[in-house]
Amino acid sequence: MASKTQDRITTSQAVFILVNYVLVASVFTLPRVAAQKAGTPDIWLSIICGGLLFTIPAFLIACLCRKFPGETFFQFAPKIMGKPLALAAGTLVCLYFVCYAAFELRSVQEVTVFFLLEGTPTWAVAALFLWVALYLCRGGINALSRMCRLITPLAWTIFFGVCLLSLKVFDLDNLRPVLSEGIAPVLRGIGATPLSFTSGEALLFLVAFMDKPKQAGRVAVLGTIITIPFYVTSAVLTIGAFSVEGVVTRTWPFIDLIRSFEVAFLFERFESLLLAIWTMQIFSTFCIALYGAALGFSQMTGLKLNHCLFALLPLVYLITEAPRTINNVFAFGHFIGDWAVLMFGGLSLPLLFLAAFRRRKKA
Amino acid sequence: MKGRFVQAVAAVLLTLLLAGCWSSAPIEDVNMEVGVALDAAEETPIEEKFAAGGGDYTKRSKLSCTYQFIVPQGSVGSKKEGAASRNYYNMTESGDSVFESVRELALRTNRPPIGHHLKVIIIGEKLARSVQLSELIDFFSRDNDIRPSVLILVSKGEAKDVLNNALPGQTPAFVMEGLFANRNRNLRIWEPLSIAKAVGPLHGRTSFLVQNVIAAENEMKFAGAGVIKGETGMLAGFLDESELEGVIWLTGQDRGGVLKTYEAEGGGRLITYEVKSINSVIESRVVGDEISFHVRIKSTGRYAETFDTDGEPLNSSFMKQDEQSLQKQVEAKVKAALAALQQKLQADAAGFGKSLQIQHPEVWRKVKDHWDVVFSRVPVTVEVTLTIEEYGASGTSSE
Repeated sequence: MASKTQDRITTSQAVFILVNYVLVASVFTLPRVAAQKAGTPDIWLSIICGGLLFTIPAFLIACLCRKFPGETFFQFAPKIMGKPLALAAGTLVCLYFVCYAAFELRSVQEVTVFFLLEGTPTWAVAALFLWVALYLCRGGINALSRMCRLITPLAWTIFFGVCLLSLKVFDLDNLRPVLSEGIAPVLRGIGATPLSFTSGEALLFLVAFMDKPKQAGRVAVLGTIITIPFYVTSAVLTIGAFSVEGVVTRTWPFIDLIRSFEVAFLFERFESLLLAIWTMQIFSTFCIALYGAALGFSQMTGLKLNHCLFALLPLVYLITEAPRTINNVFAFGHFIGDWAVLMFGGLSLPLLFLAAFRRRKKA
Repeated sequence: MKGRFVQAVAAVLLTLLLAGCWSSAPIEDVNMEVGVALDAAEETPIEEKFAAGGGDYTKRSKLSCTYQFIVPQGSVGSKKEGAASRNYYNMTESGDSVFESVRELALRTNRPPIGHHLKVIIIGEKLARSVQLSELIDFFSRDNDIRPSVLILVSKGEAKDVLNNALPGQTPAFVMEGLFANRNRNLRIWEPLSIAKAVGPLHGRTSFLVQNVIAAENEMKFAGAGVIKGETGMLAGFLDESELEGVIWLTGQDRGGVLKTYEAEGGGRLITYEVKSINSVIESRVVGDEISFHVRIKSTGRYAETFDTDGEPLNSSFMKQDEQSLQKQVEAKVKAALAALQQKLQADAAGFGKSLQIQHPEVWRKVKDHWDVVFSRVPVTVEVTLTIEEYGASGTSSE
């Protein structure tokens, strides 16, 4: 155990881990959810605002963690709120990670079984995901960081490359007029973004591994802001291709965008390529969340990390398969988004005050 | 020793994965759908014979789906010469559900139809006039194999006739898809309407155009466009080739094609002009409650034929005169198209509503619910500026 927390990552590695953690399956659905809420083509503004808004709790959490260098939230929480409360909060955070991982896995299942591998049983997709994730997480934070750096250039190139190709079906008029109904729809649209942008929770354990914890704030802000272009691109392009009225009728608007054109170049169809790299992207989120949950449980209970990882696998799988219909899956995602806002948005500021207050009392 | 054993077992188990794809199907064993024609129900002689033999099920006869499959080159065997060897095969099923009809084919062919390579959906006039388009494409826009890039066309007449006609060696579905590539050669082709592009206007209840394709003898032709009315979601009527050309001048995509006119003064000399570019801007004006539109069309191009038998030099005054005759011709075409859209069909399929929405969103909110009715009465003025840039390789300059 002790050797694991001695692993160190640099600031840029931490940023990459955070970016990979924030980029999730909701790229596929965010345009629809946001368009349903806003009702105007201005959802790209909502997404920018949402992204910027969510850097605030992330930054606050970074400030909090910075005060306890080398310690994760699960280790320093008892110092600021006492043991019983810390145990409850820690368990909630771990459960959140488990649910988040399960939700991402379920999204991958839904998408790959529908579009990519029709006929492949869902358990086969899940089994591969779970066992490889377990193997990776046993390697600790450095293995995770290395995988994130491996995926990033590939995922970014293919994502933006495919997006460029989709300009073939893009029509700027679908995005106009801008702000025709004022700012209200933009604000309504922000309500759709929490699931895409929650990043602060990963910092609860990530900062402890940083060799320069003072730069945690920078990681929080950069890690969240770098992801905004991905979500904005997906929203702008899908609205440009389908128009607002069309986007709300598509279950997976971004995948349908990539399916809407054929290019006489190398592949002709690009959705398999995009789904393949985005599955990796979701895999990295899944691993980081699973690692966070296992680390939390192991530090709170004193069990070995590996044992916790093994113990969590069946739990994750059960939660993955719990939603029965696709509507349940989306509702589950919405619930996780709300959970994140309440827990990490609402609690970060009081915790920060509490930590400062306790500090002063000790001194 | 133990490590060796584990490694050996793992290696053996891993070979199981080499068996390959989980749900692969060899390409010779599937029927690739490339085109679908939807018509008002009419059972084919084959189906009638099947029904007489007990091959019938409960259905309200509503539509006939004709599926075009391609015959893989290898499976034809020794290929016969000439038109007799067709590389496609059509099958028709009637019923009320598109999905049920395609699965009914599973009783007639051992090769399951797959939709990955579907290219076009053609809807017959009678069906398109009586059933909402969104209902007809529902299955196609929901399916996971069929892509949103599938093109939608209408056919004045029977849609399945179109799937029967192609030049020797070609497949009708591919011909139709390929015809859209000729949009830089002819102005009478509307932009391809894919499922992706249709769901927006269908859900938002705005009117739009669909390319019309007709069949005669053993050929097909793109002939104008069908108008889907936003309010009903059904086909309301057709624009003929020349009216469609007018709409294309109005909407001004960067296109190429032919413009022909007869000289206004003088002997009525024929002039043809090759369109190199069209650029048009629809400007909406609102004074009080009165909405009006002004369309500015700019075009550049070259002489294709001058029919200048007297050998007059192509100086600027000569070219100016011809430009004016051509401009008048464009104006006339646009006016005819507008008359068809406003009076005959009462449907804005040329994007006037969009320009009002962009330029005067507050006015648009008031009229959007009955826009097609409002549109049928708004005045539209047209201003055409046409420049003949050159006369090709033959011709003399002013001096």
